[in-house]
Amino acid sequence: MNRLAGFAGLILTLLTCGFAWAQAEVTMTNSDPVVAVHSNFRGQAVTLFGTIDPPPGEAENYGVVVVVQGPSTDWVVREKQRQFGFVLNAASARYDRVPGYYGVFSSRPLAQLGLEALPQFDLEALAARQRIESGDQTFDSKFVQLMRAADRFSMAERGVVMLTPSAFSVRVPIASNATNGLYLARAFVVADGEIVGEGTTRYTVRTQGFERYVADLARSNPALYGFATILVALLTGWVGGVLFRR
Amino acid sequence: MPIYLPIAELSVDLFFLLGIGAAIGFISGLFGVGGGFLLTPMLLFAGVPAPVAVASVTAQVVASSTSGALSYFRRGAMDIKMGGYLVLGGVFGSTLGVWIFGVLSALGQLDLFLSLGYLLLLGSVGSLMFVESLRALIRSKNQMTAVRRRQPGQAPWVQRLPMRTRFRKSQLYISIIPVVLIGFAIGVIGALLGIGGGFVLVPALVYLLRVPGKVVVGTSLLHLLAVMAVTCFLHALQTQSVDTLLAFCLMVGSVAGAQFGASAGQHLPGERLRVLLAVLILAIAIRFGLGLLLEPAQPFTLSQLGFGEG
Repeated sequence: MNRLAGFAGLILTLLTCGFAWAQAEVTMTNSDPVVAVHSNFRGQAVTLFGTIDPPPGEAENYGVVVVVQGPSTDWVVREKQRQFGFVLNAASARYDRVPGYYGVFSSRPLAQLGLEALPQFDLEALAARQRIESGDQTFDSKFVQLMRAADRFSMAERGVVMLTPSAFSVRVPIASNATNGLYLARAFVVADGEIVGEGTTRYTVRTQGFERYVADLARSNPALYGFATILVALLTGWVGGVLFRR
Repeated sequence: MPIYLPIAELSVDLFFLLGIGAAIGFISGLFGVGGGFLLTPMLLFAGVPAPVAVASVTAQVVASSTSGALSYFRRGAMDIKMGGYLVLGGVFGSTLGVWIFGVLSALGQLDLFLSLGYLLLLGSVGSLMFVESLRALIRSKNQMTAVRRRQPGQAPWVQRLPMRTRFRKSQLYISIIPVVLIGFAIGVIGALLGIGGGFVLVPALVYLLRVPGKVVVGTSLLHLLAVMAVTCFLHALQTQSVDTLLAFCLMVGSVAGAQFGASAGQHLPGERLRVLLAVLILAIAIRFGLGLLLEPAQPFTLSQLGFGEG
């Protein structure tokens, strides 16, 4: 009996210690579970909200990092070089299953949070992981640059706004060329350089409008799309001929 | 007013597209050329991805040759039997062309190939035209009557080929082999470079086969229409890079522009304009040449692997 009570006490102590130090619960939600983007718009944004429970009150150096990841596809980076006097695509590197969107948002610069070494927050490490073996690693930084230029990778230090010590929000931009599909957002609560809590939310991006319909048809039913295009061409040519006949 | 091109994944100003459509249509109406060989380079320079530019122009060529083909057909100025054999070859040629196109695209050498192809094609056509039109201009200045060009018979090898048949409209009794081969070659070039190829096909029919002038344009339009429609379909199927919205904007512009071009052509001094067209073609050829020789500002390019690539 006595031994049992002692054992239970030990477990309780361990649990509470663990709870206070390592188990912050993060609850997240978002402004739009389904984001409908019209192709004509320059882009819009979805806002994610989260609360941390219990608030990391004591910890001096804490912050929140949110990683948003979109559907993955394969990419290739090519480099033009002069060969035989001509400038042509000579070298290339392929990256398989890289998210079409990967954004890292943090409430403070990652270096201040003591996180710069963690691979899930490092875009170049992501590129290096997904690069096909034969590729040259010097392409990784170029790949990241090009993806950032295309608004597909983003890194926003101070992108997470702490509304109160335990509540935060982050605005995730959605470009007009965003890949359709499920986007997963993971929030990490960081205290003294360690991840002490994690929470997730997800949203769906669905671009709408006539242009998207055209693009979808071109992929899902290319034969019908081809026929339709030829028909449009024949009709336009014929109508033009009739209208302008002198 | 920006318009989003869904396949090119690009926002372009609508009036820019209508404008180049109209300009190219005007030029094609003025000179009686198809315009694909000017339109595809314009789109490439405007930043439209090469596969989309080439594949979409095929649809535009279908539209711009429809009304012409119809009116030649009504007038009976079309050798349908010869057109059939040309199209037969053209369909095989375009199938091969679209296949090569896919391979080049996967290898990442499509841009290089297009630059080289256009440099050679436009360079040679432009130079020939420039010399020819300058001569014509000087002749007209000197008030000399144009010397009637010698009309030699068919090349002897054309007459020796087997499988001869009678083309009644063209009043020819020749082998179908060169007809199918010409159709095939134009089909390959058209599918690869995004041009109808009328400005190569018409001289080939006239000088190699001696097709009479009154049916040659109609027959070549029939070939353009049918083969470009097939090419467009194959591009939609294989490379999936036909942008119907882009093609439609270009069609509307060019169909309208062509009418004005055709009527303007009757009032303007033809020789001088031909010199200008030659200069324009040469300028585009030089632009492609520079692209091949100068180091680009950004040597790295990113592309998403789509269907049938890699």
